[in-house]
Amino acid sequence: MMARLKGLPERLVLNRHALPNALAPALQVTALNLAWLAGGVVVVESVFAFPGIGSLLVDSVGNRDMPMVQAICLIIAAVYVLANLTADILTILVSPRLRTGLR
Amino acid sequence: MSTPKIIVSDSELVEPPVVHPDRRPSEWLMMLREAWRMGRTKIGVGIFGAIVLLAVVGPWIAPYSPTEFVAPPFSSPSIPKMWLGSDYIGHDVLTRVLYGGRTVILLALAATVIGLVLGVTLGLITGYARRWIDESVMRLLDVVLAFPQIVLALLFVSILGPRLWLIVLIVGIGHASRIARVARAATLEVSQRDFVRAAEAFGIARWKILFNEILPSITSPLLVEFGLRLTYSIGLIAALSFLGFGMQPPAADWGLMINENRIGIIIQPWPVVVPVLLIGILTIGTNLIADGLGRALIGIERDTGLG
Repeated sequence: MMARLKGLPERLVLNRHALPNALAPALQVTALNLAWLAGGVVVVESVFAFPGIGSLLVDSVGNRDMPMVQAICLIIAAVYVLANLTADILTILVSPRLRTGLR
Repeated sequence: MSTPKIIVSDSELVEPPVVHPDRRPSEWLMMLREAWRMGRTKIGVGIFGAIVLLAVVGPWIAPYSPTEFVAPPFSSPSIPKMWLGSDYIGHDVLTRVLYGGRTVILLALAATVIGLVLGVTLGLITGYARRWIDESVMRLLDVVLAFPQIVLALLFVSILGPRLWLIVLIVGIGHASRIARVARAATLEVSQRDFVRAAEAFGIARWKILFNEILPSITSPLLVEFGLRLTYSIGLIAALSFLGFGMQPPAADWGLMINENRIGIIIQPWPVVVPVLLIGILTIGTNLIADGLGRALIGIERDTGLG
């Protein structure tokens, strides 16, 4: 509103004032879904017999290949944590209120 | 001269209703009533009830035994008395569909209840105790949260083998970490209220405060969470069965049926399509219930101004 009253062009209002504030929740949801996908690949890959990390995990569980299972679980958990961490950092960088709180 | 009539009727003499604090319907009953007024909740309960009924009554009305070989593999439904045809080794599909619902629903319910009990207990304790107990338990739960639930389940299955109780327990623990966060947030807020302070001042034992004072006031968000977690449980249990780590082959189970009959989906789609549809409809039903409860909770919070 304030930006509109200043008489800024509509495009600038949206990009400079609306976008940073609207981006934060979107980023969080994106990260959550990305992390959720890391678990989803396990089922999807074995459905379509796609040779990826998910079907490798299912096969290794079937073969009792413990080191392999541990490694894959660690990788997926790391993806999960990293996705959330990245989203948190991006949210802080993007949203004006939190960015000023940094200093 | 007649005496003036007393025109005050009975109804006006009735004293204003006194609200007894113990007579007031508790908040979660209010929420249930509010939720029931919504169409989505009724549809959800209807769907859920119908499928539970199918699973409970199914074994009695099933035409064959679930492990009986009655026709050549992958026969189409054209054979008389076999409305859905036969599966990959010649079992009757209708019979197996009727038998298979019980395991999915029972296991999902068991996992959700385990998750709820564990999660609520941990959430209450961490929310009320604060300090180092709060910190250490929550960090421990964060470790569980870092794994997608299905990966967590696979990790433990690879250690101990595909045991049924293990899967229920692990799915429950996965839920517990998520429910504990909800319970903890609610407890933190409630434990600042006056009635908890009063109980503390009376010197009532802390565990009594937890279960008699705090637990009843956080029931509503927990009910919503229960509905939501039940939805996830059904999906997870079905997925684990599908991957071959839940029920083992001779048993009739929807998730397992999808996996077994996948190869014949072109010539005989029914043993895959029917369980998929039923699992899908079941999750839609529980989701509608959870959604109705959630909306009712938001409505009550708005009306009463209570958390």
